[in-house]
Amino acid sequence: MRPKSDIGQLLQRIVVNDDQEAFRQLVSHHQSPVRQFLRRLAGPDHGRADDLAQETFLKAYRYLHSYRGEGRFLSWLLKIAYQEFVKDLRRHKLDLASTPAELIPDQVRPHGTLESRMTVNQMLKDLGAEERAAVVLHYQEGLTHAEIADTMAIPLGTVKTHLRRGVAKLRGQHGAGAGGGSHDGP
Amino acid sequence: MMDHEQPQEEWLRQLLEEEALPDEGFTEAVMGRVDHWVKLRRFLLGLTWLTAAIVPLLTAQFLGELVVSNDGNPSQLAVYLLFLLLSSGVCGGFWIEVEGGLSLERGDGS
Repeated sequence: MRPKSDIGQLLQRIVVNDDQEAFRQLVSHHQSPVRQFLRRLAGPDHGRADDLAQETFLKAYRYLHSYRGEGRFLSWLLKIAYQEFVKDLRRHKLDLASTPAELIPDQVRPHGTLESRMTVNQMLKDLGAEERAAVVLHYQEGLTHAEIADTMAIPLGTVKTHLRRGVAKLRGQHGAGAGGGSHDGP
Repeated sequence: MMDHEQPQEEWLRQLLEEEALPDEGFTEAVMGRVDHWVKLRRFLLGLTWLTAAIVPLLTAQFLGELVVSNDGNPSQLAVYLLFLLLSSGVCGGFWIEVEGGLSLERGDGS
Protein backbone atom coordinates (compact mmCIF):
# COMPACT_ATOMS: atom_id res chain seq x y z
CA MET A 1 0.00 0.00 0.00
CA ARG A 2 1.42 3.36 -1.04
CA PRO A 3 1.55 5.87 1.88
CA LYS A 4 -0.88 8.79 1.80
CA SER A 5 1.99 11.30 1.56
CA ASP A 6 3.16 9.60 -1.66
CA ILE A 7 -0.32 9.90 -3.12
CA GLY A 8 -0.33 13.57 -2.11
CA GLN A 9 2.98 14.15 -3.88
CA LEU A 10 1.73 12.44 -7.03
CA LEU A 11 -1.45 14.53 -6.98
CA GLN A 12 0.59 17.69 -6.56
CA ARG A 13 2.83 16.77 -9.51
CA ILE A 14 -0.24 16.20 -11.70
CA VAL A 15 -2.12 19.35 -10.71
CA VAL A 16 0.89 21.71 -10.70
CA ASN A 17 3.02 20.30 -13.54
CA ASP A 18 0.45 18.29 -15.49
CA ASP A 19 2.83 15.35 -14.96
CA GLN A 20 1.40 12.41 -16.88
CA GLU A 21 3.98 9.97 -15.49
CA ALA A 22 2.64 10.74 -12.00
CA PHE A 23 -0.89 10.09 -13.22
CA ARG A 24 0.25 6.79 -14.73
CA GLN A 25 1.57 5.74 -11.31
CA LEU A 26 -1.70 6.82 -9.70
CA VAL A 27 -3.75 4.77 -12.18
CA SER A 28 -1.49 1.76 -11.79
CA HIS A 29 -1.81 1.96 -8.00
CA HIS A 30 -5.62 2.34 -7.90
CA GLN A 31 -6.73 0.31 -10.92
CA SER A 32 -7.36 -2.89 -8.98
CA PRO A 33 -9.83 -1.61 -6.33
CA VAL A 34 -11.70 0.55 -8.85
CA ARG A 35 -12.02 -2.28 -11.40
CA GLN A 36 -12.99 -4.80 -8.72
CA PHE A 37 -15.68 -2.46 -7.39
CA LEU A 38 -17.14 -1.94 -10.86
CA ARG A 39 -16.94 -5.66 -11.66
CA ARG A 40 -18.96 -6.39 -8.56
CA LEU A 41 -21.55 -3.81 -9.61
CA ALA A 42 -21.68 -4.60 -13.33
CA GLY A 43 -21.88 -8.35 -12.94
CA PRO A 44 -20.09 -10.86 -15.14
CA ASP A 45 -19.50 -8.43 -18.04
CA HIS A 46 -15.90 -7.50 -17.19
CA GLY A 47 -15.48 -5.55 -20.43
CA ARG A 48 -18.29 -3.20 -19.45
CA ALA A 49 -16.82 -2.80 -15.95
CA ASP A 50 -13.37 -1.98 -17.38
CA ASP A 51 -14.86 0.56 -19.80
CA LEU A 52 -16.51 2.28 -16.86
CA ALA A 53 -13.20 2.13 -14.94
CA GLN A 54 -11.41 3.83 -17.87
CA GLU A 55 -14.10 6.49 -17.94
CA THR A 56 -13.63 6.93 -14.18
CA PHE A 57 -9.88 7.57 -14.46
CA LEU A 58 -10.30 9.90 -17.44
CA LYS A 59 -12.82 11.93 -15.46
CA ALA A 60 -10.48 11.89 -12.45
CA TYR A 61 -7.70 13.32 -14.65
CA ARG A 62 -9.95 16.04 -16.05
CA TYR A 63 -11.32 17.11 -12.70
CA LEU A 64 -8.40 16.40 -10.40
CA HIS A 65 -8.17 20.08 -9.48
CA SER A 66 -11.58 19.78 -7.82
CA TYR A 67 -10.35 17.08 -5.40
CA ARG A 68 -9.99 18.98 -2.16
CA GLY A 69 -7.94 16.40 -0.31
CA GLU A 70 -10.77 15.66 2.10
CA GLY A 71 -10.95 11.94 2.79
CA ARG A 72 -9.11 9.19 1.00
CA PHE A 73 -8.29 9.59 -2.67
CA LEU A 74 -9.65 6.09 -3.30
CA SER A 75 -13.03 7.16 -1.88
CA TRP A 76 -13.09 10.05 -4.34
CA LEU A 77 -12.30 7.66 -7.20
CA LEU A 78 -14.99 5.22 -6.08
CA LYS A 79 -17.45 8.10 -5.96
CA ILE A 80 -16.75 8.88 -9.61
CA ALA A 81 -16.89 5.16 -10.45
CA TYR A 82 -20.29 4.84 -8.80
CA GLN A 83 -21.59 7.87 -10.71
CA GLU A 84 -20.34 6.34 -13.96
CA PHE A 85 -22.12 3.10 -13.09
CA VAL A 86 -25.38 4.96 -12.34
CA LYS A 87 -25.09 6.89 -15.61
CA ASP A 88 -24.52 3.62 -17.46
CA LEU A 89 -27.62 2.09 -15.85
CA ARG A 90 -29.66 5.09 -16.95
CA ARG A 91 -28.23 4.90 -20.47
CA HIS A 92 -29.53 1.34 -20.62
CA LYS A 93 -32.83 2.47 -19.06
CA LEU A 94 -32.33 0.31 -16.00
CA ASP A 95 -33.73 1.13 -12.59
CA LEU A 96 -31.16 1.86 -9.90
CA ALA A 97 -33.28 1.03 -6.88
CA SER A 98 -34.63 -2.28 -8.04
CA THR A 99 -32.23 -3.72 -10.55
CA PRO A 100 -33.18 -7.37 -10.51
CA ALA A 101 -30.83 -10.17 -11.42
CA GLU A 102 -32.37 -10.64 -14.88
CA LEU A 103 -31.39 -7.12 -15.94
CA ILE A 104 -27.68 -7.71 -15.47
CA PRO A 105 -26.28 -8.91 -18.77
CA ASP A 106 -25.68 -12.58 -18.30
CA GLN A 107 -24.50 -13.62 -21.74
CA VAL A 108 -20.90 -13.01 -20.83
CA ARG A 109 -19.74 -15.66 -18.44
CA PRO A 110 -16.76 -15.12 -16.20
CA HIS A 111 -13.78 -16.96 -17.58
CA GLY A 112 -10.95 -18.44 -15.63
CA THR A 113 -12.43 -17.42 -12.30
CA LEU A 114 -12.58 -19.48 -9.16
CA GLU A 115 -15.80 -21.20 -8.30
CA SER A 116 -16.03 -19.19 -5.09
CA ARG A 117 -15.79 -15.95 -7.05
CA MET A 118 -18.63 -17.08 -9.31
CA THR A 119 -20.63 -17.94 -6.24
CA VAL A 120 -20.19 -14.56 -4.60
CA ASN A 121 -21.02 -12.76 -7.86
CA GLN A 122 -24.15 -14.87 -8.23
CA MET A 123 -25.11 -14.05 -4.67
CA LEU A 124 -24.62 -10.33 -5.31
CA LYS A 125 -26.81 -10.50 -8.43
CA ASP A 126 -29.89 -10.93 -6.27
CA LEU A 127 -29.28 -7.60 -4.57
CA GLY A 128 -30.54 -4.28 -5.95
CA ALA A 129 -27.83 -2.03 -7.40
CA GLU A 130 -27.73 0.26 -4.36
CA GLU A 131 -27.63 -2.62 -1.90
CA ARG A 132 -24.86 -4.24 -3.93
CA ALA A 133 -22.85 -1.02 -4.03
CA ALA A 134 -23.24 -0.40 -0.29
CA VAL A 135 -22.25 -3.97 0.61
CA VAL A 136 -19.20 -3.96 -1.70
CA LEU A 137 -18.06 -0.51 -0.55
CA HIS A 138 -18.28 -1.51 3.10
CA TYR A 139 -17.14 -5.12 3.15
CA GLN A 140 -14.78 -5.18 0.17
CA GLU A 141 -13.37 -1.66 -0.05
CA GLY A 142 -13.53 -0.96 3.70
CA LEU A 143 -15.38 2.36 3.50
CA THR A 144 -17.17 3.62 6.60
CA HIS A 145 -20.93 4.26 6.55
CA ALA A 146 -20.29 8.01 6.31
CA GLU A 147 -17.92 7.53 3.38
CA ILE A 148 -20.49 5.34 1.63
CA ALA A 149 -23.17 7.99 2.15
CA ASP A 150 -20.84 10.53 0.56
CA THR A 151 -19.85 8.19 -2.28
CA MET A 152 -23.41 7.25 -3.18
CA ALA A 153 -24.83 10.70 -2.35
CA ILE A 154 -27.55 9.24 -0.13
CA PRO A 155 -28.43 9.81 3.55
CA LEU A 156 -26.59 7.83 6.24
CA GLY A 157 -29.80 6.13 7.33
CA THR A 158 -30.39 4.88 3.78
CA VAL A 159 -26.88 3.42 3.71
CA LYS A 160 -27.61 1.49 6.89
CA THR A 161 -30.90 0.25 5.45
CA HIS A 162 -29.21 -0.91 2.23
CA LEU A 163 -26.50 -2.67 4.22
CA ARG A 164 -28.97 -4.34 6.57
CA ARG A 165 -31.16 -5.58 3.70
CA GLY A 166 -28.20 -6.60 1.55
CA VAL A 167 -26.50 -8.51 4.34
CA ALA A 168 -29.79 -10.21 5.30
CA LYS A 169 -30.27 -11.44 1.71
CA LEU A 170 -26.67 -12.59 1.47
CA ARG A 171 -26.84 -14.29 4.86
CA GLY A 172 -29.91 -16.19 3.70
CA GLN A 173 -28.14 -17.33 0.53
CA HIS A 174 -24.93 -18.06 2.38
CA GLY A 175 -26.80 -20.16 4.92
CA ALA A 176 -28.72 -21.99 2.19
CA GLY A 177 -25.67 -22.50 0.00
CA ALA A 178 -23.26 -23.30 2.79
CA GLY A 179 -25.31 -26.01 4.41
CA GLY A 180 -22.55 -27.44 6.54
CA GLY A 181 -20.23 -24.43 6.25
CA SER A 182 -19.10 -24.80 2.65
CA HIS A 183 -19.36 -21.69 0.40
CA ASP A 184 -20.56 -23.62 -2.64
CA GLY A 185 -23.30 -21.68 -4.41
CA PRO A 186 -26.44 -22.73 -6.23
CA MET B 1 -11.58 3.43 9.43
CA MET B 2 -14.07 0.60 9.61
CA ASP B 3 -17.45 0.91 11.24
CA HIS B 4 -18.37 -1.60 13.85
CA GLU B 5 -22.12 -1.71 13.33
CA GLN B 6 -21.93 -5.22 11.87
CA PRO B 7 -18.88 -6.87 13.40
CA GLN B 8 -20.51 -10.28 13.06
CA GLU B 9 -20.27 -10.20 9.24
CA GLU B 10 -16.63 -11.28 9.02
CA TRP B 11 -17.71 -14.16 6.72
CA LEU B 12 -18.93 -11.58 4.20
CA ARG B 13 -15.69 -9.63 4.34
CA GLN B 14 -13.78 -12.85 3.71
CA LEU B 15 -16.15 -13.83 0.90
CA LEU B 16 -15.64 -10.51 -0.87
CA GLU B 17 -11.90 -10.44 -0.31
CA GLU B 18 -10.04 -10.52 -3.63
CA GLU B 19 -6.45 -10.67 -4.75
CA ALA B 20 -5.27 -7.54 -6.56
CA LEU B 21 -6.22 -7.57 -10.24
CA PRO B 22 -3.27 -7.69 -12.66
CA ASP B 23 -3.00 -4.55 -14.77
CA GLU B 24 -3.37 -6.36 -18.15
CA GLY B 25 -2.68 -3.17 -20.12
CA PHE B 26 -5.39 -1.22 -18.32
CA THR B 27 -3.10 1.65 -17.28
CA GLU B 28 -1.79 2.02 -20.84
CA ALA B 29 -5.36 2.12 -22.18
CA VAL B 30 -6.23 4.89 -19.70
CA MET B 31 -3.08 6.84 -20.57
CA GLY B 32 -3.94 6.56 -24.27
CA ARG B 33 -7.32 8.11 -23.59
CA VAL B 34 -5.75 10.80 -21.40
CA ASP B 35 -3.30 11.67 -24.17
CA HIS B 36 -6.16 11.90 -26.67
CA TRP B 37 -8.10 14.15 -24.29
CA VAL B 38 -5.10 16.45 -23.73
CA LYS B 39 -4.61 16.90 -27.50
CA LEU B 40 -8.32 17.48 -28.09
CA ARG B 41 -8.44 20.00 -25.25
CA ARG B 42 -5.46 21.93 -26.66
CA PHE B 43 -7.06 21.99 -30.10
CA LEU B 44 -10.41 23.16 -28.75
CA LEU B 45 -8.77 25.80 -26.56
CA GLY B 46 -6.84 27.17 -29.54
CA LEU B 47 -9.91 27.13 -31.74
CA THR B 48 -12.02 28.87 -29.11
CA TRP B 49 -9.62 31.76 -28.56
CA LEU B 50 -8.98 32.08 -32.28
CA THR B 51 -12.72 32.44 -32.75
CA ALA B 52 -12.85 34.92 -29.88
CA ALA B 53 -10.24 37.05 -31.61
CA ILE B 54 -11.50 36.80 -35.20
CA VAL B 55 -15.25 37.22 -34.69
CA PRO B 56 -14.97 40.78 -33.22
CA LEU B 57 -12.46 41.71 -35.89
CA LEU B 58 -14.76 40.62 -38.72
CA THR B 59 -17.80 42.07 -37.01
CA ALA B 60 -16.07 45.41 -36.59
CA GLN B 61 -14.94 45.25 -40.20
CA PHE B 62 -18.48 44.86 -41.54
CA LEU B 63 -20.76 46.25 -38.86
CA GLY B 64 -18.40 49.14 -38.15
CA GLU B 65 -18.48 50.24 -41.79
CA LEU B 66 -22.25 49.93 -41.88
CA VAL B 67 -22.93 51.86 -38.70
CA VAL B 68 -20.31 54.46 -39.27
CA SER B 69 -21.06 55.42 -42.83
CA ASN B 70 -24.17 57.46 -41.89
CA ASP B 71 -22.57 60.03 -39.61
CA GLY B 72 -19.14 59.85 -41.12
CA ASN B 73 -17.60 59.12 -37.78
CA PRO B 74 -15.96 55.71 -37.95
CA SER B 75 -16.33 53.73 -34.76
CA GLN B 76 -14.90 50.38 -35.78
CA LEU B 77 -12.78 50.31 -32.65
CA ALA B 78 -15.82 50.67 -30.41
CA VAL B 79 -17.65 47.85 -32.24
CA TYR B 80 -14.49 45.76 -32.14
CA LEU B 81 -14.05 46.25 -28.40
CA LEU B 82 -17.72 45.56 -27.72
CA PHE B 83 -17.65 42.28 -29.63
CA LEU B 84 -14.27 41.35 -28.20
CA LEU B 85 -15.83 41.68 -24.76
CA LEU B 86 -18.88 39.69 -25.80
CA SER B 87 -17.02 36.84 -27.49
CA SER B 88 -14.45 36.66 -24.69
CA GLY B 89 -17.32 36.32 -22.25
CA VAL B 90 -18.94 33.57 -24.30
CA CYS B 91 -15.66 31.66 -24.78
CA GLY B 92 -14.68 32.15 -21.14
CA GLY B 93 -18.08 30.87 -20.08
CA PHE B 94 -17.68 27.87 -22.35
CA TRP B 95 -14.34 26.96 -20.76
CA ILE B 96 -15.58 27.51 -17.24
CA GLU B 97 -18.35 25.04 -18.10
CA VAL B 98 -15.86 22.56 -19.59
CA GLU B 99 -13.29 22.88 -16.80
CA GLY B 100 -15.63 23.88 -14.04
CA GLY B 101 -15.15 20.82 -11.90
CA LEU B 102 -16.96 17.63 -11.22
CA SER B 103 -20.31 18.12 -9.58
CA LEU B 104 -19.96 15.24 -7.17
CA GLU B 105 -22.49 16.65 -4.75
CA ARG B 106 -25.36 16.46 -7.19
CA GLY B 107 -26.88 13.36 -5.74
CA ASP B 108 -26.82 11.22 -8.86
CA GLY B 109 -27.05 8.17 -6.73
CA SER B 110 -30.25 9.11 -4.98
